[in-house]
Amino acid sequence: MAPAAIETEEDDPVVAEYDVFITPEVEEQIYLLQYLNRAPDYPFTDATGCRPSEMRIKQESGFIEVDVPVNVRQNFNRPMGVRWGESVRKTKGQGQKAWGIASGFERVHVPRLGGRPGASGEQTAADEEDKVDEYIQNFEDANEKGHVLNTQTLGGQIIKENAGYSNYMIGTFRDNQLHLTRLTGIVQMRTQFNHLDATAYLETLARRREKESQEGVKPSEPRALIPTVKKGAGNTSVEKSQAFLQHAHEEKWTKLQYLDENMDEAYGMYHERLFVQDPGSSPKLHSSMNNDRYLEAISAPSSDKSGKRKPLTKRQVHEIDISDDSDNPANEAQPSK
Amino acid sequence: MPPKGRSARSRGRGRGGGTDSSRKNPSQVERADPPAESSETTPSAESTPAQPKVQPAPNDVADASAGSVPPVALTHAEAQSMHSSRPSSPNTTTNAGSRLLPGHESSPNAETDTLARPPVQRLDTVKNAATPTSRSSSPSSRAGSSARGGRGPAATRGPTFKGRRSKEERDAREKAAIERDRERKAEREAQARKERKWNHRGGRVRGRGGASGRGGYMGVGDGPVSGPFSSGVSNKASRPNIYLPSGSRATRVKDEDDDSDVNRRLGITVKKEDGYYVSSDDDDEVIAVPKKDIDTIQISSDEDETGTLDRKERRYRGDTPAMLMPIRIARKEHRDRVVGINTEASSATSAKILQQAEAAGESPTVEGVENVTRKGKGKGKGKVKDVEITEWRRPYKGMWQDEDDLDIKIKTETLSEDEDAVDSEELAEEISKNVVKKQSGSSPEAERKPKLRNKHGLLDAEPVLQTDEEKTEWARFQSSLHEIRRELGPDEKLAIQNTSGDVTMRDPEATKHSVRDDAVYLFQLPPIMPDLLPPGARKELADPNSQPAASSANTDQTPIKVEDGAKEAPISSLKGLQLGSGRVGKLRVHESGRTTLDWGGTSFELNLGQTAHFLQETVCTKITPEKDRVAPEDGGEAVSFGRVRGKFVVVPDWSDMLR
Repeated sequence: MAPAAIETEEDDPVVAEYDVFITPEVEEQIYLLQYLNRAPDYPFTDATGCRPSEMRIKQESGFIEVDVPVNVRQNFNRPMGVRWGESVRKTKGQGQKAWGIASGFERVHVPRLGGRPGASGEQTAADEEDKVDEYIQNFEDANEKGHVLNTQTLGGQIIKENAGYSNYMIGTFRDNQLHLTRLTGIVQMRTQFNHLDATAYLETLARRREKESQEGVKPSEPRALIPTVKKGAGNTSVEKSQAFLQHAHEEKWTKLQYLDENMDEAYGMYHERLFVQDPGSSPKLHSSMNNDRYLEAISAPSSDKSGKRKPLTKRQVHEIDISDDSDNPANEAQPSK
Repeated sequence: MPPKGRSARSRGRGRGGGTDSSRKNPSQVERADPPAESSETTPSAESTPAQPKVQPAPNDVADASAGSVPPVALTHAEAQSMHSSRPSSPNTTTNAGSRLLPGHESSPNAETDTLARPPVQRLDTVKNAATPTSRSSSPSSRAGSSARGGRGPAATRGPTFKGRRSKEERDAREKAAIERDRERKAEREAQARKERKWNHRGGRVRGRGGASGRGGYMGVGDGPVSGPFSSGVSNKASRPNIYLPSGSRATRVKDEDDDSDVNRRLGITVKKEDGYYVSSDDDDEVIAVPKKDIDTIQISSDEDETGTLDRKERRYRGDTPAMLMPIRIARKEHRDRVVGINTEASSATSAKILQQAEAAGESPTVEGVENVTRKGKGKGKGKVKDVEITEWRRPYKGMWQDEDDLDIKIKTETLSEDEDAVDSEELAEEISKNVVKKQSGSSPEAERKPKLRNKHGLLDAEPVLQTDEEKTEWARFQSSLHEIRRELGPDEKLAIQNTSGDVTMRDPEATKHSVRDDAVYLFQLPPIMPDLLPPGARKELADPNSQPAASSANTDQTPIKVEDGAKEAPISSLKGLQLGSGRVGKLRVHESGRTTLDWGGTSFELNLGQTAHFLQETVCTKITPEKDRVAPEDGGEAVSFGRVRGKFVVVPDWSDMLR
């Protein structure tokens, strides 16, 4: 056995060799979108008929949303589709473009309607119902005009590279070259129920209006305001969260046109962004640590307080190898998970 | 630039075409023979599933897909046209029918020859030039083959046809056939055009498609793989899956509703599920329907092949993945843990587990491959293999309790000539070797040393493993090595390596198009990773930290303080990995699959990451600065790079670091 182990290098010839390159950091950012409840067999592409119709990003606060078209002709609940669609449309009209955490849980303040008491509230409600019915009747038309919720929104928060956690890179192969590109962030895309938020919000508004219409709007009274001093950046976690939400609320979505993976642009970008353009003349990089240093870096700090901890000599390492076979080298060499 | 556009697609369609065409068959049949009554259609439709299986694998994929369409369609067409054109002679009809069936079973070889022949369109040539032999042997049979548009199998089966037809009849039928062919061809083209866009799935259509794009992911057992071990060991066969034009799901289901021999094929799945099937369900008695693990059942369909595919199509369009099925935790029979000395029995069991796990992982793929085969590529051996495996089904079940069957099991795998099988065979052998070794008797310490060494991924170094867990772990490890080797290793060599009689199915593609092209892989690096510095910047950047660097050089004299600094240095990397742009080093793939990465001088190793069971896409955002925007709405572009094809985990290369 032992001889076999020694011969390994000869026994195990290199069958393929790639030059590894690292691409420069550029403006374009690369995200890994993980659609957690989507099987890998069903990508969001033109080919499957569900290429995202729109992608939105809040780069600063770190949110991404994607609108994926839904087939409204099959297994589709038209009434609800119309209702939700209308809710979303209306709230959008009011300026509410994001929901949930992506909007910092803030809602757009809707100016109150005229203060006269009367049946206007009910009337509008009745109108609404009529409209919805009409849309359901002329579904195709309504769909085209955007009264139907015909997209599914998936979204998530960008997980940026985090010190102390694994780093991720995108690897692309070309001939005998491997090009590594840093991943800007990972996003776990989950279904967003913005339409429900919108509907619920509209209901709240309607209730409020109804109440107002019955009772009349109270003349706005001077309210006691507690002046708060806004700190630039709080240190407590609460303050941090507040700042974060505030920021998320203030930042506008940047709308992006989603290009399919099969488009020429995608190919162009792929070769442009994920490869070192001139591999021949790219400088040779050097690791900041050699093996021993690295080994030390990843090892637990020595409990030996004497401090005189020097890298092990080869012989010592060898001894450890033999004596302590349950040590992690053996375990770690196993495939992760 | 990657291949794209028409030309690339037409070639790329290869396998996709297979599905494509088979999906179309019934509709074609119906259109070709509008007068055909349903009663007539039914029997011929039943013969459909059986037929393509016999089609041997041609070298030219595209041709095959084109060529394999007519067989099915035409067979029906003929049978039906016989009905309609010659109602007076039922004998002829029956003959035609009977001729078809024996032909399938008896002459796979003959068909191998004929399949290479040109497809329908070249009917005249074929009829006049290529088939004189059969004509001479049995003139009357020619009517049949000409009606089929000179398709190969018909010609070879000709002699068994005893019916006679007049010249007029033959001419008429011929003409009709030509017309039908034309019609069909036009239709096929139209449909192909329409379907092409989502048919690339198989991938090689567009460069990226093959890989990340539509083709998917290399990974370990894609899709929900069932079986206790499948998550780990399954992947032997996973790669072929990538090439499945339509994913393995629909096909799998289709198997379910296919007729008996397909069911037998399904037996592959079944048998291993059976091993684990511990159920008190009352449907246990239902033997006719093979049991499937619920995790592998994707669709339940009572439609036929085509129906399923159509449905699949619909599913695509409908954006309703059929994946939302109830899930239950995989069950497996409880077995007492085998502790301590590695008896033959225990190793046999483990081998069994191993196999089982492998089979579990493999079966969907095998099925899938077979389906592709059946549809387009037509690999003659596929059928044989199916049958063989199936025959082992019962013994296999028995082996669950019976330890003596180890060699039988190995044989099973040997029989299957798939590359995957080769692999599992290796593993099985390995384990049996272990048994021998173990028996030869050596002290625990002596065994352990090599184990430590050999864990670095060498196929030929068999560790002595004690428990089943160790063995399965080892198997997992080996299979991941194998997977890497397969993914990153040279393609041509792979093909050669895998030739165990039949040259691999994807050979044509592999040579033309690397699986890696246009694919996106995910690399996971350790939290602490040496920065990579360009040569010039090295000194400046490294200077603050240079003490540690120096310290490593002259370790002995270094004062304590600096040593502390040395420990700080890695922590400084917690600030985030700093990577310059440039050449890092080499990635070397070894024969065994062990893959090393030279990270600017530090040694790392590449392991296979676990395959995600969900969709992962990469996207590149290109945001237009606000001032440059044409409209405030138009914030820029998000460019999809397609799915992540695979994941690798970079780990320190211990063998080198501790050297």
